[in-house]
Amino acid sequence: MVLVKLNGVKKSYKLGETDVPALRGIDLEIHAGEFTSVIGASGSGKSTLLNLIGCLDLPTLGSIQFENKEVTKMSESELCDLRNQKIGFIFQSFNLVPVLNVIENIELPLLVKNHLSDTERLQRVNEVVKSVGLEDFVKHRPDQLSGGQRQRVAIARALVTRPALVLADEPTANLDSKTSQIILDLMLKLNQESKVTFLFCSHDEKLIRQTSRVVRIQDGVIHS
Amino acid sequence: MSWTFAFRNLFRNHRRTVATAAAVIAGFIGLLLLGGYIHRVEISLRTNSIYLFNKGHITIFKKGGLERFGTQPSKYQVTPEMLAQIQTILESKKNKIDWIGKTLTGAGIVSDGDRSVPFFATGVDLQTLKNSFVNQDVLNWAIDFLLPGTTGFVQALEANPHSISVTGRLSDLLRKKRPYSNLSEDESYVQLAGMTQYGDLNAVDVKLAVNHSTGSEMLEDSGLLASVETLQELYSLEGFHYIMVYLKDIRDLDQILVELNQNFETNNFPLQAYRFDLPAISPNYAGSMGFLYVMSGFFVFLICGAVALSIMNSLTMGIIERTREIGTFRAIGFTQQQIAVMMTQEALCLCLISAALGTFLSFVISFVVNAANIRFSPPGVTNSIQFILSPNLYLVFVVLFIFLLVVGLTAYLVTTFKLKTKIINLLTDAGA
Repeated sequence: MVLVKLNGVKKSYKLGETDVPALRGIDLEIHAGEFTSVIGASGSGKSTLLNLIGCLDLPTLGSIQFENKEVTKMSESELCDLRNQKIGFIFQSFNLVPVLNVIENIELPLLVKNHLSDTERLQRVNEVVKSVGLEDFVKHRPDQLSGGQRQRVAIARALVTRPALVLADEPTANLDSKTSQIILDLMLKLNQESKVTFLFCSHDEKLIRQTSRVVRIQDGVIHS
Repeated sequence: MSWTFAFRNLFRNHRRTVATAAAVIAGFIGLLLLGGYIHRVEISLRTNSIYLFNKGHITIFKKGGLERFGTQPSKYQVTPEMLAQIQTILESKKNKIDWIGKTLTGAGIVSDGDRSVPFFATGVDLQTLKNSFVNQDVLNWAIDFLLPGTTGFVQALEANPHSISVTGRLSDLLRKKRPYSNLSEDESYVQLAGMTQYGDLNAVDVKLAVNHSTGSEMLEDSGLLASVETLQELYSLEGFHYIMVYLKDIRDLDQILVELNQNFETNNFPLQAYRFDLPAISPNYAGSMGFLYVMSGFFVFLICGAVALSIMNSLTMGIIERTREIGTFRAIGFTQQQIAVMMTQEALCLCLISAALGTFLSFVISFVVNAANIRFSPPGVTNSIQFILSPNLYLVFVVLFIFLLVVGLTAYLVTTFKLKTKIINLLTDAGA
């Protein structure tokens, strides 16, 4: 089943008077349950691609369909709902809220709609905490955690809404190689066991080789 | 969790939080003390007008008497029959009425045989004097307007109904040394001369008993207090200038006033009832309060403006510091409005904490200032008055409401405006 479909997607940014093309016409399909990795050099357009798929930005030209719904025609509130319900984000710098503890950081996406009871919400949070192995750190704040642990919190936060797609933009860039491997292993395990669809973006060839599908991007164009 | 989150966010940047809180606290104290001062002045002037200037809560004139009694007292006096009608109407409301008083005013010449000085006399019934001098509001709020010894006028009147009280300056003009108890019997008697309703000149011998202050510089050369009967005798009148209605609770004023005037209208009584705070009834009260309200409005505007600017500045800095975090919130599905509400809650949280501290400090400052017994003489007022600050819980809630409104609105508008930035710009910290 095609989860995300990109057709002729172009994206350019204004830099003063100049238009700088970031994506020059991308056609891509991401299937449910896949673990896809995007590799490319710095400035190749991989983060732009993830931002467009994650509905954080809109393309200059082209079409993006998420579960057969055209994203470019959605209203701001529909995009907010889509990001909240269907997409999970894992950022390079973890992007955790420093004043909230692990549990509170993880439950944040569930508070957007606030449609679950306190018990259901806690149950969901505990499930993902267990799946990322942070049971002993639930009351810790981000500054009391290591980089790897922080990224686990970010993964748990991305998974707590049971999204259709998890986008990970260079999640291992700020981690040492050992921790990076542990994080990737965790994501691979979640993909295999829970069938969560991952789109993983990195410039680390060693990590990328371990994923089932690799998309290479260079100068805003997909090469393989 | 949003309020907990808002509270915790206050500890992120201690310096900024303390600076903003200090601005809010200073503003809160400023408004609360200003309110406390105006509250004290309002009660003091109100009490003075109602009880010491003998206007009552409601003042009833014969129609046209408010404007024309001075020139045609016989035509515009409230006759004893009219008084009886008023008493009958008010009988049904007696549980709300403290007492009904009578006043007669008039001008003339006071003379001791050697010197003659013009006077402006107020004649008040004994019950009004008795009740007013021991009224709790007068003792609490207008004691500065009550000269020591003034209250002795009641005993003097009881002993001799022809006793009078004169202002200190009128006494000086008559060259009568005080206290009058040291004067001989002959020296203590003076003669009041005035024009009767028939146009004749009449005179009454009266005894100087005590001194009082009118509180007003303008009336201090000519103020004279007598019994209403003495002035009736002097002017050959049976009636009164006006009737005062003293209420047990000022909150009943509007209702009773409306009912009274409706009753007068329905029964075709040529009477008109007025509130005590009308400029024509209590010019001192209305003029002073009008000025104070304008001045306080200006200060409220200034203080709220300063507080709004502090909040605006603090929130703008907060948004800049937390750009990426706000981007993360947006990425995980929070709407701009939800984030604006979160930031507003943070500002409101700071406002509530600052208000609590501001309230505490205001009461401490008030206590210290009141204990210091700072006195001053306002223009046009004879006596020195103690500078009293009297903030109260009602004022705290009013000021808190104003602050929450200003802070909440400012925070919401600033955040909404600042958050109109692309999510990717927020996430890459390209500035909000």
